[in-house]
Amino acid sequence: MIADRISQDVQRHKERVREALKSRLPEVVAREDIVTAPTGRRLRVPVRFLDDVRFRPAPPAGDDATPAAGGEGLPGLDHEEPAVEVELTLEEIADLLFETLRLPNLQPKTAEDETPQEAVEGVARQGPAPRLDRRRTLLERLKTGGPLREDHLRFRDARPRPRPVARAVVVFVRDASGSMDDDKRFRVRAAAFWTLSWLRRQYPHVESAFVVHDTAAEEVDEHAFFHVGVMGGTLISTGLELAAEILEARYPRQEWNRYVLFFSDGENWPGDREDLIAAVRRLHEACELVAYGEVEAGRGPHRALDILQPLAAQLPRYRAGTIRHPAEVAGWLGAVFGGGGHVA
Amino acid sequence: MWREALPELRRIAEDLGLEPRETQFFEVTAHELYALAATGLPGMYSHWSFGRNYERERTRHDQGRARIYELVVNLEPAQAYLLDQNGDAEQAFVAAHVLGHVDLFGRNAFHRQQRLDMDRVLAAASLRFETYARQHGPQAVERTIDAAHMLMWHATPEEMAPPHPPADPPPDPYAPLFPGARRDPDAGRARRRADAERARRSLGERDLLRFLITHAPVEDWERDILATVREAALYFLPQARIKILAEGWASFWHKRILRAWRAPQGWAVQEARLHAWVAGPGDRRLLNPYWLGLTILEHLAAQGVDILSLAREESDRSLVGRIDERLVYSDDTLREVALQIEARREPGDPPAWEILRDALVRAVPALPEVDVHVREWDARRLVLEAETPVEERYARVVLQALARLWRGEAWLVAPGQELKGVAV
Repeated sequence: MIADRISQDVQRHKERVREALKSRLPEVVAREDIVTAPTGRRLRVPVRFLDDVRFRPAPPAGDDATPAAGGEGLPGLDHEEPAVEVELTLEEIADLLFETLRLPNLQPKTAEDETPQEAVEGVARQGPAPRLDRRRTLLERLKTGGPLREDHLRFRDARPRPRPVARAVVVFVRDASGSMDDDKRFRVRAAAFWTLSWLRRQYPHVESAFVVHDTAAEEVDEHAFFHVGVMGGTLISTGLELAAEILEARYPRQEWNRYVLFFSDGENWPGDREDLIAAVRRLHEACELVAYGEVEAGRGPHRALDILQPLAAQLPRYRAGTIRHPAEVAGWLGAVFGGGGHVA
Repeated sequence: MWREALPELRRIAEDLGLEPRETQFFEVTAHELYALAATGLPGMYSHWSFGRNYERERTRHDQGRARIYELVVNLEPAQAYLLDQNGDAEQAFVAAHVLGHVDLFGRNAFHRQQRLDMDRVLAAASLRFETYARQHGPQAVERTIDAAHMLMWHATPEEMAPPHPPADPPPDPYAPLFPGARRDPDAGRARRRADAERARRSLGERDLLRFLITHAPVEDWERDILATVREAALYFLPQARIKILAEGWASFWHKRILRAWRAPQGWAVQEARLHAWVAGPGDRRLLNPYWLGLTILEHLAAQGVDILSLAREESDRSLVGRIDERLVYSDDTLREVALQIEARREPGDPPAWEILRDALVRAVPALPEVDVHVREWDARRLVLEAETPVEERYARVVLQALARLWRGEAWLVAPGQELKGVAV
């Protein structure tokens, strides 16, 4: 009996650990081994045993050098003991992340210009003979007994239903200028990773395309997108224009939910200002969502985030935010895909 | 078969002067043993922290860092749980160790504070808690147990509750006969009234659970949980204060019992190895209670101290305080540390062996870790006071739990600190 009870307690402890893990999600989701993990692999996340909370003496003064690691967390997560490793699949981490961010489900658009599909959606008492549901009718008769009567008849009910567009495409656009170093590229990668992960939960079929640019844009494959090194200056508008062309050529609007996400460290060339604004406006007209992630805290007068700032109020499907640190990826996702629950 | 050796082992123990009372021996699986060790007592109510304890011990076990061989529980009769994977030689060794523990149950004043029906108290409480979980939801029950656990180590036995000062004495019918002796009756009365008022409101109370049980506006089921957890704390606290003594004691006596025992062929070698493993200096040797307790007791016995009497009133603190110069310099492990201290000692410091002894006394865990008492309260606010500064992150969580029970605010005032918790 004690053994049964302890199994229950172990289970509950695991739940508590998962809850506690949520507070560390921003840090966990930006871990390199997670973002680059082969699909399906189980990942080990070290979590310490939940500590007993009670009044404890303050650490002696001058002892401030003690690990900053536990510095911010709740006592629930800081411990004297060595850590246990919680094994999670990527799926589970994603579940936790999206649950915490409370992202609203994306509304797939419906295809307007196609013949609506009919779908069987219930049972009716009247209907054309071919739709007679023999099984249900028989059941009704059995319920009352006696001969078959008119009110025993049951028909399959069919209603026209607009067919949602089940496909989505996301074009990732990245600044490949000289200032985009390894760390910044990693932040782009983490953001792209979780964006795809989220879209794949929303649509049965998701495709992606990748564009890098310096002063001119080029479509590349996924690997090159994340790894390609240093090129010249920065004209973000060129990348966005190529994204628009790719969408028009290969992903017709009626058939695809279209997303464009672009990343830069914000050091756009001054001459690109108007073109950039215009490009974002045009894409906004053509897409379900246009989002910008600025991977550096830029200062200068030509910082792309500031230039685009006025658009945020005008364009409902434009979102932007900074990702200055891997742990900000989660917050950025929350800002881009909605729902107040920011974790960063 | 090790069970057949039990009467013989017991007879040897009694010849050595031990008085172990009746003990039931159970062989259990590792899962059952670790489950028991996680809760500390059979019958314990359900709570995630026991699942945490279980996982922690199992992780250590699986990593080969520690292994639980037995668990002895001070109940009537005493209960000993032995791991069923142990071989006969190990079980005999463990049984001898258990006899030492059971002797101390009856001998030591701290063990004697433990109520021997605690398993039944808890089993009954577990059933009530399950009912509460159905009525009020498992979360509400868990929260209440969480809160009670945060405060449990502040429990004090009833004898230590602040005394109620005497009420006003009845008027002395003979006073008018001695007009010259009459003093101002009001002065004493005012002070007594103030004292009585403080006592009625439990100001100064250190047992925070007792305070809440008496004064918090909680529902009966919550009060029942607080009271049960407090009862469990009163069981575990005395035991926690004699961990070094108890493990040292059991090791001291199992050595002697096994030495006097004519073990079957081949068993002795294994016992010696097992003994070295349990009671030998481990990684953190100074604080290994088996090793430290055994080393001190051996030293005292060699000095001719009657340790059978000494153990009656001894605690870990007093036992470790008995470390003396001769012990420090005759034991390899202690001497090594003392020499390191010696190297760093400033002129004017006490001798190295004293520094070492005092450091070990301080390292004996104290419960509660911070002394806290009730300073003031009204219907909305509860104000506690700590005598030393507290770790704020922990304290805030405790205060929040307190505020929830108080249905208002909970404050803690400590030197240089003023922390507040509000019910969420």
